[in-house]
Amino acid sequence: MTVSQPAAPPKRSPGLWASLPDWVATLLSNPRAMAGLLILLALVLVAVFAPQIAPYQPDRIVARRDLPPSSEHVLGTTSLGQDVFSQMVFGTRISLAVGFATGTLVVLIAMTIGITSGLVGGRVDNVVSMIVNVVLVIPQLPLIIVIASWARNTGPITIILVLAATGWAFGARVLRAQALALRNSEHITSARLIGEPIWRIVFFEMLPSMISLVAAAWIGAVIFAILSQAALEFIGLGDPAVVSWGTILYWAQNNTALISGRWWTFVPPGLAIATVGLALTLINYSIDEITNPRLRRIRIPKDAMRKPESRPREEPSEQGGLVQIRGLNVDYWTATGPVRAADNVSFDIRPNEVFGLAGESGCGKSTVAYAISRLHFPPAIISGGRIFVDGQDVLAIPDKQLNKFRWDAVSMVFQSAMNSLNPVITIGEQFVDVIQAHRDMDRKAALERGRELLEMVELDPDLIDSYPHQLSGGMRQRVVIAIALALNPKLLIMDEPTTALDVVVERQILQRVKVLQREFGFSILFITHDLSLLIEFSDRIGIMYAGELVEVAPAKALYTDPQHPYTRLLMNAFPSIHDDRTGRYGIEGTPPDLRTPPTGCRFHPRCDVAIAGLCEVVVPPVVSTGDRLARCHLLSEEYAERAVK
Amino acid sequence: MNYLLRRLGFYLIAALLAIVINFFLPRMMAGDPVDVMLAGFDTSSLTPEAIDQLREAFGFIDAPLPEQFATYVSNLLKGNFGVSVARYPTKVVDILGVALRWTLLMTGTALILTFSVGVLLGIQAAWKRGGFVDTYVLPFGAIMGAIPYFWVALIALYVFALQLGWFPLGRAEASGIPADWTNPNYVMGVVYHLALPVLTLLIAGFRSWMMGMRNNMVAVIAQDYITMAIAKGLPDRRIKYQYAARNAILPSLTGFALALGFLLGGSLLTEVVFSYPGVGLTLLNAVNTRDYPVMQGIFLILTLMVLLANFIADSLYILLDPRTRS
Repeated sequence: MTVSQPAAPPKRSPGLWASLPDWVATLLSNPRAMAGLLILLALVLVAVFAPQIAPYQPDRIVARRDLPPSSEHVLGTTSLGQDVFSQMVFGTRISLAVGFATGTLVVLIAMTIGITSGLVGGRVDNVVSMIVNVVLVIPQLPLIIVIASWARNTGPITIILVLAATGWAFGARVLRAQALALRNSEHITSARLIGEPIWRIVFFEMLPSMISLVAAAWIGAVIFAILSQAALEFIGLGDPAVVSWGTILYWAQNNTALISGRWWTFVPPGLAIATVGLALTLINYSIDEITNPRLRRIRIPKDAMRKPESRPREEPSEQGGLVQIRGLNVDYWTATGPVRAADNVSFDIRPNEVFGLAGESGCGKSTVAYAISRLHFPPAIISGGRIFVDGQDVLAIPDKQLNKFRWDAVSMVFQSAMNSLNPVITIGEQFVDVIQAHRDMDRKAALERGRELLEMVELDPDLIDSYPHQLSGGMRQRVVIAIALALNPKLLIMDEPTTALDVVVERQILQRVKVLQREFGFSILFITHDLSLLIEFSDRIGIMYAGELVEVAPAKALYTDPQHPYTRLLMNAFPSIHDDRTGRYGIEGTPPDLRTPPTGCRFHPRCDVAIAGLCEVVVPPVVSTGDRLARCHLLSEEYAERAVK
Repeated sequence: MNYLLRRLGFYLIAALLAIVINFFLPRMMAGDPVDVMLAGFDTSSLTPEAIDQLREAFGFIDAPLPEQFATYVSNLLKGNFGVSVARYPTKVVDILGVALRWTLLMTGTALILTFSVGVLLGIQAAWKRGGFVDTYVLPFGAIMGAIPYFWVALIALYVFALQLGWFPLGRAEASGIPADWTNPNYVMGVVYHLALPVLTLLIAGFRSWMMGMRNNMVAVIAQDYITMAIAKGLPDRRIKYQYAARNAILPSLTGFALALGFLLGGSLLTEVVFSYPGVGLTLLNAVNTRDYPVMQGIFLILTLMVLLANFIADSLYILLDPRTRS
């Protein structure tokens, strides 16, 4: 009897900002966003208190013309003798006001058009999205110039209107896309069903869930407005009598400040615009990282990134399997710390064996499979254990030699075969590249080998010249399997290879794989949540729950006599091919959140035979008997003894 | 081919919209638009026939709107964009002809440069997260996106041309050498005058391609075919370019219009700063003299150029994406 105690993953206390909406909290804890907000606040204060800050009236002639900076005039004077610093301070008012007003107007238009269009869908959406695209394709600046030049009064109000009229399309496109994605969500559908008016759905149901996108659109629009305003005023389309950063530049250009070297009239306005832009960009950059989690960087402590080869060595056992997994831990790092997706997993895959791995989604079965090919990348990290494939210590392979190991010893058929092939190059290329990466073979021979492999999976060898989109899902899956067998691997991992296929195609493909397996003698790690398929197809089966392997047994034994309560409930939850078990039950409850796994046995909250006072307190031991093992208190001798007493 | 036809239809609609804008803008003014157009001009040099000619070019004939529009469009199709008011009786087409060549040269060169540099940097930023490009170039690009294009040009002109004297202060050709494209000295002069404006456009403009490419790459890298390519043990270079970048560049081509419009806007202003005799400078002069026929002509021509460039990008898309071919 073997007993092992898994270590509990570390727990984290909720952050300082936990009560705020998630993205706002993240934003406020982001130093870059915070810096941006502070700069913006400072500029707004300058605008508000301009009369108090500026030493002179901005338009009054107060000194000789073209004076360089001095203590009297910090930024010198203009060609009329106005104080440039005072003009800068007062210019903040108009420039910020136009920027914010335009930004707000643009977002309101974009929101109304974009969200409504995405929500209503159908013909309205088609027409609206075409209009949006047409507006986007027309070059903006010439359009703005033409419109602005026709408008006779080109004061700030006109500029705001012109910029809003031309600038709304980009935001509308972004928001429409998001609305399209959201419209089928449950609460939107139900709101539409009970007949809520569109405007209520737009403003009360959809807006709250896309507020970060709206914020980003607003910031983008403000940047656009401030830059365009400056450009318009610079080329003389603004009202030169209004003091703003753009008109300061206009007068500088008109009075040949550049050629005369009077930098103090054209450098400050640009810097001021750049400062606003920088502040807004800092905020937008952070929002971008929050709304697009892929861009987010997660800090992983150095010692967690420690290379596996620096960990203590262990030798593979002689009589063990082709693949030996020992105490494997895989952590996914999140903003709040690591989450253990595979916890102390150990099992063997024997030569010429089909080993099945099952469990609900998120139980860690794919995580284990990816570890065997070393396919985990930060934020996922193999944090412990050892993996041997054919005697080779996989976790100790130096990064540079990994490419040699991959596919040669272990190849893999991925969950969605539909998307496993590169859509823009031919099937043939995808045979050639893998063969040439590993074998010394010319292109022609590699293509010939590809045709051979296609025949092996019962496909027309002429398909070698086609692109993936020309094949059906089942054909693509066969192609992926053919590519997986290209190098005669020792282990073929099939990670839910047939989820997207219909039952008939699924069966044909699996039967073919089984034939090939017998012919070439490789092992298969077969992962699925379809238990009946698994039992039929596998020699031995492992069941995973919440990151742990809870039972391993020969397929037949598992079917006739499941030892772990979870396995038993799983069996009831799936239809069987062989007999019609009439009573089928789903398992009550949901899989646990791995950030805070249940204490004691992780399955105890859903277990129908949990022992109060034991299962929720004590981590169950791994009990192995003969060729099977399970992780349950009910099977332990200790419990049996106690029960006898 | 279906795809290209659909795109062509789309661009025709866009061109039509531009024409409609051009047609209706003057009509939204109070009073006789041609009088507005001519207000503030010394019209003594214009004969009444000349003014009528101007009216006709814009369809301001004594007829219902649809007929006016038809006249306007038929004039456009004949290549008649009207005559300049400020430089009467020069035709708008003739004024644009020379300027357009310089703009094409500058914008075209800048487009190729910003596209190549931006896309390559975007690939690199996404491929090596936390690498040099990701850590330094990306934020630099983000900051550049918040600085007015023309101001970067002003500063570059001030520092590199005026203070350091490395580049000429403006214009497109070296003085004293006759325009002759077979004369290497002339070509060198053109290149020398082109260098600084294009460099400022590159510095200010590569970011839009870089950001787009980087975001596409990040999305593509999460695709299953990338995981499979890694599992296949392919060399890094092949995964990076043939698997990731090759797919990630496709949305960049569809986002071409935005980036090109942005670049074009920048390039018009750069011309103003560098006194580069292109469409931008012509536009500035037209704005200052309220020469509406020239302004409208420029807007229309530039729109058509952008639509054409987009159509070329679409054709390229077909070459790169086999899915659009079937």
